[in-house]
Amino acid sequence: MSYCVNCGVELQKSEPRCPLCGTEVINPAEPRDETAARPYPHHVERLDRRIDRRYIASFLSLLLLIPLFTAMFCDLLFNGRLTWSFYVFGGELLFFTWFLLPMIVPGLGRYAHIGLDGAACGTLLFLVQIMTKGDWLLLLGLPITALATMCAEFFVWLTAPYCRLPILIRFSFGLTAAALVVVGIEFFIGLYQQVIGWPRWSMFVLIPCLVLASSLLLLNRRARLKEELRRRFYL
Amino acid sequence: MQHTHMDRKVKPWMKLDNAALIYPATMNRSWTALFRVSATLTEPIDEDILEVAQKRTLRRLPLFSFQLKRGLFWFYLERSDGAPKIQQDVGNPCVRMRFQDNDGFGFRIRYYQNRIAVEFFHVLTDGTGGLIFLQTLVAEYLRLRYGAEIPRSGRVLDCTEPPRPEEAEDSFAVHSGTITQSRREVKAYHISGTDEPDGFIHIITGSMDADRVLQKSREKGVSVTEYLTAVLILAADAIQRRYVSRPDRLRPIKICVPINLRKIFPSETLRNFSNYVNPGIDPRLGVYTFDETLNIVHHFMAMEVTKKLLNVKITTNVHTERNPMLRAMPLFIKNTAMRLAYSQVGDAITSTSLSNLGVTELPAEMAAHVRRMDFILGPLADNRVCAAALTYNGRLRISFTRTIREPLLEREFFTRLVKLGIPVKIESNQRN
Repeated sequence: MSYCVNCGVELQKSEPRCPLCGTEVINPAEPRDETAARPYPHHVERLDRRIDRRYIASFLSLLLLIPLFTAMFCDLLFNGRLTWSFYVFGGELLFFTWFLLPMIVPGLGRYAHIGLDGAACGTLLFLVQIMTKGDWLLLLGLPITALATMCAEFFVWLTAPYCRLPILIRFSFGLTAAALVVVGIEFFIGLYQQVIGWPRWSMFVLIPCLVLASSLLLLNRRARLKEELRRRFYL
Repeated sequence: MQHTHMDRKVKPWMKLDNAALIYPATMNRSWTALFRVSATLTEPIDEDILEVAQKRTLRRLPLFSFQLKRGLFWFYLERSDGAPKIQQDVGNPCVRMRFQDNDGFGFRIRYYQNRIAVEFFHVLTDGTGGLIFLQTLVAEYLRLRYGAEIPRSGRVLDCTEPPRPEEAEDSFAVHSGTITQSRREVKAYHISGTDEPDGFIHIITGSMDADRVLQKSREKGVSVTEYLTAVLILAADAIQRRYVSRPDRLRPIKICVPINLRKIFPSETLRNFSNYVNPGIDPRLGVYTFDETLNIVHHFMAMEVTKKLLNVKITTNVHTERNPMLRAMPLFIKNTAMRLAYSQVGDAITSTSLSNLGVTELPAEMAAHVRRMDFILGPLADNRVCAAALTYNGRLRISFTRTIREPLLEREFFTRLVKLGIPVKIESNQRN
């Protein structure tokens, strides 16, 4: 009989090394018997691989090229140049960036993905502006997209496991950020219409949000009340 | 196939028992909740005789030939004639069960050299029911192979008798009361490690002298299960302390210990009828000695394993099943809800599991042909290591099932037993 010099356990004759620590069995008094019956056969039943999301996303990305090329071909055939097929391109770019890219490049990180999502939105708006020959992109479309993207990045940070802020403060900051985005939207609409003034309709969102956010900040300072809330809202 | 008079007594379909409800909802392409009991005989297995023995056993225990089907609101079990094909054993026992490859059945019989192993999907039965099936199958095999005259009892059933209705009873429904309690518990520490790329399942079995373990347990005034649970708690605690440096980040160590409810409530069911208790320690409070841990486990079990408290646990589960909102949900929504609930109150609240089927005794005429018996749990849904124990013929065998590469828990556990004065012999399914 052989014992593992590391673990002190006796080893079955069929074991080439200790299953607990990997130490090879060397026993001059009893060399290992290669023919000793193994407790389990060599044959291993293969397990289905998990769904390869990366492969499926890459495949879907290639499939997206079919409607794109079909649209471009039809566009060229009927109009002699690329016109409305830009919408198809913009829409597919948005779909690819929002849904397929996170699966193809899982290690990119949430902040980078959200940044790219914002960039894809901006590109679609840019194409729409070219097609409609508008002038709203620089003053309205891009600033609002950038604002929404920054807000989304902030929300991601607030909900991240490494964010050490108390839950009530997180809710308070989130509410304030959402209210500021609404104020920002009104500001950019005013800028575009060249009617810059004090915020009006966005105040209906800002004031309740700020009141609620301040209440949450105050609540956060009252330990007993916080405990009571935790108890009442216990899920 | 023409049904005989005896067969007609068996229902054509039945609801899943209360404990079984969670298993189909949580199964996926690479995981099914399985367990395995096996008997190693003195001579090599004859496949043809084993097939006949299986048919005869299924006629006595038609409950095991029921197949899982999908209804609009619930999964259910549908009676099936016939039997699954006998299979050669594989090097990764308890690998997920693909029903289409198993003729739709929820169990499979695999043999290797002298060993007959039966792997069950937990939807059909629990360890006690599985062991009765195996013992009846082996008795029938020995009768056909050697003409052995084996006296039949409640543990080794007579295949000439008809099935009894109480064997298919949903005992949870019968023994549920009125008082419920929350299932919520603090989440426990989980052992993590490197995934096997091909999903290989590692089995390490430690065999020891049962009398020696019993003597050590008696010295401390606890049962064998309590003794082993305390060793397992301290093994998991040592691993956590090795990897988590800040004491305030230490998570509780809790072990899921299944309880056979047939010993507490009158029931002769062969379907699931077990519940769980989760004894453990909070390592943030300091380092626990072995005696302290034993004390905690012993008193925790004494408090929790009582008819009244177990009744409350059963009632909680049965009440959830009877909730009109849940019942009216279509199955695909219900599955999502159950998966979500399981992620909160399933494996998450325990660090690992230790299922002890206890001492198995066979009639002398049968024991002469059966050299050893084993019990293995299939991989759990979230916990990467679990353990199962069974005592037969004076040897206590504890089998660890693991889906990560590193044998951290097994090493810590078995070396602790050696230090406690219990010699352990190890075997495994490691690849050369």
